[in-house]
This record gives sequence, structure tokens and C-alpha cells, in this order.
Amino acid sequence: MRSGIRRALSRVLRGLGGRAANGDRGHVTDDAKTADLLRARGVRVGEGCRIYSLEFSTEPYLISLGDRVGVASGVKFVTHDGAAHLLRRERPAVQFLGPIAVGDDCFIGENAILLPGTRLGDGCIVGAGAVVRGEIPANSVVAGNPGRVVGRASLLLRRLASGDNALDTFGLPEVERRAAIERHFAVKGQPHGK
Amino acid sequence: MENDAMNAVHAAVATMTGSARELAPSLRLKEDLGIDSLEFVELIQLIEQKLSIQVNDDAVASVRDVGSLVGAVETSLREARAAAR
Repeated sequence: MRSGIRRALSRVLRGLGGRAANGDRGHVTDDAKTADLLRARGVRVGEGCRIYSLEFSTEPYLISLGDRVGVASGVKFVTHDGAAHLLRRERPAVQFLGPIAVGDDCFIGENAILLPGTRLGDGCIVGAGAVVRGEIPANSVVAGNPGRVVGRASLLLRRLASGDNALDTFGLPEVERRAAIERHFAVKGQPHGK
Repeated sequence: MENDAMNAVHAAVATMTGSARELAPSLRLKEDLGIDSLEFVELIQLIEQKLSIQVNDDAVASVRDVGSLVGAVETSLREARAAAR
């Protein structure tokens, strides 16, 4: 059953790659399928989440995601500390475990790692590659390894939105989207499909 | 007050860039000082910690140069001190 769910989720996520980045209408159904698959594994998933990772650890029932959470590819949720292996001669059944809770309206960037016991407040942004542990206040940007709060998420979003490279291309047909992006960055890519 | 804001900005930029260079108001944060969006957020956090205030996000989000940043911080500092009275 578990391998069947993984294969099904893999098919969903492969299909999500191009369509979801473009915001095609199909993404709404795909996101719902992903959420349902994760819920079947025990993860608590809120409404409106967009999840592009399968790495929900060996205790997925210890993980909860709020509403409208974005999880980029390569993100790992870690609910146990494997160092317990080193104590197994004296305590054969020992495990070090910890739940992970993500609040509403959070985004977790590519290849970030959330360690056991991590609690992200509402509205947090986790930078790509960050290694996060402990309690992170709401509206925080967390970056680096070890992850540390470097500022407010609300300010980062406003800063990015005011930047020259903030383009209103999400949801456009891919040909039109690509043309607009190439025009903006003055690049000439290969013809589509080659 | 202008000195407080300017000193805080200069100290924060020095911390972020590792260089205590003279900062002309026209120096651009990204193109001249290499401070990207993520580093900008951290820069504001440093300034806020130094001055014990919270800067208004909308007031600073689109600043592009040192002079504009100092001005926005001054405004926030003035408002914070007025509110404290």
C-alpha cells in the first residue's frame, strides 16, 4: 500500500512540475490530490496547500501544515533524530522523536530541512536550504544553517514585489508566459520543444 | 535624529557588507552595495534592533539607495518617538 501511494504521488508530482509553475487551472485538482495522499499517510494538511515534496519522514502523523502552506521541492520534514541508533546497544528500542507544526500562510523553500520539534508561526518564509529547528515566531524569514530569523516575511514580500523582476506572468498560457519572461530578461531561448 | 538614523544605517550596512566605507546618499543598495532582497530584510532588522523601533514595511520596501533608506528610517524614528511621548 505504501509503495502504491508513493508511486501515485510521484506521478502527481511529476505532472505538477510544469503545469503548477505556470498556474494552469489543472493545478487546483493536482494540489488537492497531493493533499489527500499526504492525509492518507497521516499528515494533517490544511486547505489550499501547494506541496512539491514527498519527504514527510517515517512519522508523518507527527506533522501538521496549516492553510495555504507552500512546500517547495526537496524539502525534508524530519520527525526523528537518527543518532538514537548509537544508543541501541544499551537501550535497544530508544527513539528520539518530535512533532513538526507549520502555521497558516507559510512558504518553505527548496531543500530546506525542518528538524524534530520545529514550530513555524503563521506567515513564515523559510529560505532555500535552511535547516530549521525550534520555535519560529510568526511573520519571520528564516535562513541559513542553523536557521536563524533574519527579518520579517511581510517586508521581504513587499520588497520582492517592488523589485524589477516581479512579473505578472503566473497563470498565462506557457507560450505567452515564456515570451514575456524572455522579453523582460532580454534572452533568446531555444525554440519551444527543442 | 538625522544622525541617529544615519548612524544606524551606516553601522548596519557595515555589518552586512563587512566594510565601513563612506556611504554617499546616492549609493544604490543592490547595484553598488550588493544587498539583495534577503539581505535587505536583515539590514532592516539590524537597524530596528539598534534603534529599538519597528520600521513601517511600506515605507522602506521600495527604497533603492542609502539616502532614501536614511530618510525612511528617520520618519519611522520620529513617529516612534512621538508615539512614546
